[in-house]
Amino acid sequence: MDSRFVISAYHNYMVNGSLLAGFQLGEISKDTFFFQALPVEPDEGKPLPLVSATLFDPSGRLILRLDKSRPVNPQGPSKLRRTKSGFSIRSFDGKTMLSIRTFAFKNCYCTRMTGTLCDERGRTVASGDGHTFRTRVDVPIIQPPYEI
Amino acid sequence: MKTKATTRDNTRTKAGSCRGVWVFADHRNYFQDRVTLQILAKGRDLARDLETEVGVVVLGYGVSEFVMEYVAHGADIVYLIEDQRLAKYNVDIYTTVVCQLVERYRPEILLVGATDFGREFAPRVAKRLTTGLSADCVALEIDPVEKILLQTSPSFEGSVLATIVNSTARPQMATVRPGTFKERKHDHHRKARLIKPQIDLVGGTSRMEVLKVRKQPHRGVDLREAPIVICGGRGMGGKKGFGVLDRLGKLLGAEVGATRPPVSEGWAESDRLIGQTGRAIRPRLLITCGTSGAVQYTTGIQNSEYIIAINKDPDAPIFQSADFGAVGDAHQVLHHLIMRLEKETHG
Repeated sequence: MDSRFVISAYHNYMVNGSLLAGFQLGEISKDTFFFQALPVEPDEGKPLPLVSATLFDPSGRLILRLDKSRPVNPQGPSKLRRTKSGFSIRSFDGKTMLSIRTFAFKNCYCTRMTGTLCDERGRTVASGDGHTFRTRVDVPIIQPPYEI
Repeated sequence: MKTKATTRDNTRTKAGSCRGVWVFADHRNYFQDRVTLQILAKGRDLARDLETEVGVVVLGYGVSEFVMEYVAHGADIVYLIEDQRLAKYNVDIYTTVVCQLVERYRPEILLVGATDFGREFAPRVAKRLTTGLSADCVALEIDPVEKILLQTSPSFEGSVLATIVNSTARPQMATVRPGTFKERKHDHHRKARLIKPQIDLVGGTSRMEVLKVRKQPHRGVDLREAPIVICGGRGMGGKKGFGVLDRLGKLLGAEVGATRPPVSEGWAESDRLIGQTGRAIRPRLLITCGTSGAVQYTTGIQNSEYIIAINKDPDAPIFQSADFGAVGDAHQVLHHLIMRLEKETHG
């Protein structure tokens, strides 16, 4: 079956080899896993990734809560480190668990992710190799509603 | 002269079931060659008249950047097939894939840039879909009553402009010369639907194998992008006359072009040719000197914003295309103009 997505002329996330203006994995919750990559609009200043999430490590332990790329309380034991092109999340022992970077083209931007996302049971939901983010087949990708 | 031609009614795809204006994306030299963006702009006009959407068909590998550009320039839907086997342009495979897409989604109109690849690719697609194709169109409009595509193309060696319609077969196909239409401004607020069709690429076998692609180095300037162009015709008399045009060009910051006769005579390089078999230009100012105004030439200058024509024949057809006309010997008029400009420049 053909895949259908919403794509932006300005900024997209690379997921499963497709450009997506925004996407969400899981239902928004403070206690269970979700990952929401919000659309980045040209008027918002720097084209940096906008992510809200509740993230867990492979043992099912909460590592960080994010709201629009800012840690929120109770944020968990991991640290968010900002970079020029995005941010990375490090575990308490200094290991990079997730790196999200935005790459500039001539007139547009694309965000790529490296690392693994796990749910509250420690199961891998998605993983990225720096090129594309691969989601688990049974995890639906929710896209933001758009009037096009 | 206007001619109406109707294709044979032996088509598989009938008009009533088709919807959408499609543009085939030629992204090989994306940032230099703007023909896809120009056709997208025209496609939007056509889609507005048909109350439908503009789709762009992108085949290739690692083409994310181009896809976003097409959205910014007017695409409502992107049909994207990314595969390593599509990384190099191969007319056999591309034809197979595009035909599968057309048969599945049934667009009403399919537009292709009249690049070297487009000229090879579009006729094959048209043949396989048993539809018609108007080549090298210089104007595209929607008939307000019948809602079909009016495709204007130079015919009979450019001596007439024929308006061709394809009343029954679908899609209505046309190739469009680079520079014919003006691209829209980049709008990065735009969003579009991205469709990734599942297409049988295994079935798209090719009798040819592309071993290597080498880009030809860019020579000289691109007349299509020049804001001011001075064009010389047979009336310039020889290479010396073109030397005068070069002198004026330096003073005005203009590029110098030529019609067919001076190029044939060797007075100007072939990459300076303007007209039906050369470049279609869209300068803000065109000064055309010693040109008669043959349709082969005027089809290439019709999108110029302001045209000044100099010709000693007051009945020359070029004056019908001009905003301002000077009747007189081009050499003398240019001599006075150059003297005046040099005086103003150097004091």
